[in-house]
Amino acid sequence: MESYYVLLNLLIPIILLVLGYLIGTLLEKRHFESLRDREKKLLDTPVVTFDELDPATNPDFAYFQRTEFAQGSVVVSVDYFKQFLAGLRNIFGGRVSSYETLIDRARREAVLRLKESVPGANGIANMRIETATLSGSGLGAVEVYAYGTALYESALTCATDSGQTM
Amino acid sequence: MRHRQRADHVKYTRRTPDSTVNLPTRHPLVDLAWLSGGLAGLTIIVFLTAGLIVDALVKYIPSTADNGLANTISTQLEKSFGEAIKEGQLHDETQRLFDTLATYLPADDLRNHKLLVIDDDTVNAMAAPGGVIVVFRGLLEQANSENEVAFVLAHEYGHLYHKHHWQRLGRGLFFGAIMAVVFGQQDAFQSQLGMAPLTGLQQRHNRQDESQADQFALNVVCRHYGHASGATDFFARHANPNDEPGLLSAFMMTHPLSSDRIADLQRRAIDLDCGGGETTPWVR
Repeated sequence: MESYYVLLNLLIPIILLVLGYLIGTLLEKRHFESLRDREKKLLDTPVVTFDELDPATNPDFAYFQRTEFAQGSVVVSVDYFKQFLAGLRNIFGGRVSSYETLIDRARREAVLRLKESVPGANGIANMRIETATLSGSGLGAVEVYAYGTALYESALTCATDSGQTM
Repeated sequence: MRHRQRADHVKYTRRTPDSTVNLPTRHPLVDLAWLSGGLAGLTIIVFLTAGLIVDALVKYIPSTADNGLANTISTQLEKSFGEAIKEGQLHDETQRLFDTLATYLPADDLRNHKLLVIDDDTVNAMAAPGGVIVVFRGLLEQANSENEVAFVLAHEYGHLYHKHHWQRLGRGLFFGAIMAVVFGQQDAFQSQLGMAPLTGLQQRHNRQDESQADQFALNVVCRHYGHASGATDFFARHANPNDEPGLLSAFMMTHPLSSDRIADLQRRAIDLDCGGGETTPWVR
């Protein structure tokens, strides 16, 4: 009886690991495919950094007629397999590769959501990325927040836009 | 020297993020294999080291160290298993046998042994710290001869004599402390998986302990009765032929398999020149 209990205690985490790995890998694969597709579509919206956003001092900025605050955020959680692998890594040290894919996906998704939130923008200026961890009992998630200034060459605003014309 | 002309505009190159830079190149399952292999190796090394250190230190614990603990431990045992029988024929006979067998203990065993007959149907007996030997009524009622009971009692005397109780306690404490430092705030499942290779190791220790106690008991009953009859009867009756354990469960079992145990005892009885004889009847 005791040995069954020992086996059961081992079996539960193993099942969770296998499920975590299979489902996690499938979801991750799909997410990466979606990221690649959407990144291709939004290639024409560059993200650039300017010292000055004033047309008087920055001639490059004179092209733009209108700016708008743009933001995109995403919260992703780790699967059991990744968490387990990272935990093991924590003992020995080294590159936590299981979290690297997660963070990469989160950042790219946040930037894409930012770009998607401002359709028609000709570029994004001075984009910043913030990362926050959401932790608690049994919760291992990360929030990535990207924000910046959307630049428009046209002064026209969309019907749904609340952006201010310059 | 010619200076380059200042460009009016910087060309923007359209490019998707390079996936090969940020993403790991090694497959996660390869990572898992390396890390869990390392963890298993680490735990085995820690366990073996803890075992060696504890076994070396336990030798220096005098047998009298148990003496002060007997009362506290027996109160605790009665709380967990139920009231002990203090009178009656079954109790008196067991106590008499217990006291008689104590005269055969090695001279360096200075414990004040204490017997607890627990009023419960369980067929079991155990040795606890403090020199306390617990026998359940169920076991005493199922015995067919005094020799069987004598062997069980002597077996528990053997555990105490070899300080198995201190070894287990020491290993548990030592190992627990080291693993708490290694795992720290880790996931409970994680430490569970880390402990997995140890279950087998711990059980092997237990089986070694059991056969050591068996040898001790065989010596005692042979000296008392002049023969080993009845010693193995108890195991023979309780070995269920339909319950042949598989490889894994045989490895996991705390006590050596009954059939192996009987064969081992019979071999040793021959070595001791301790053959068959008349068994003594037992009150039930």
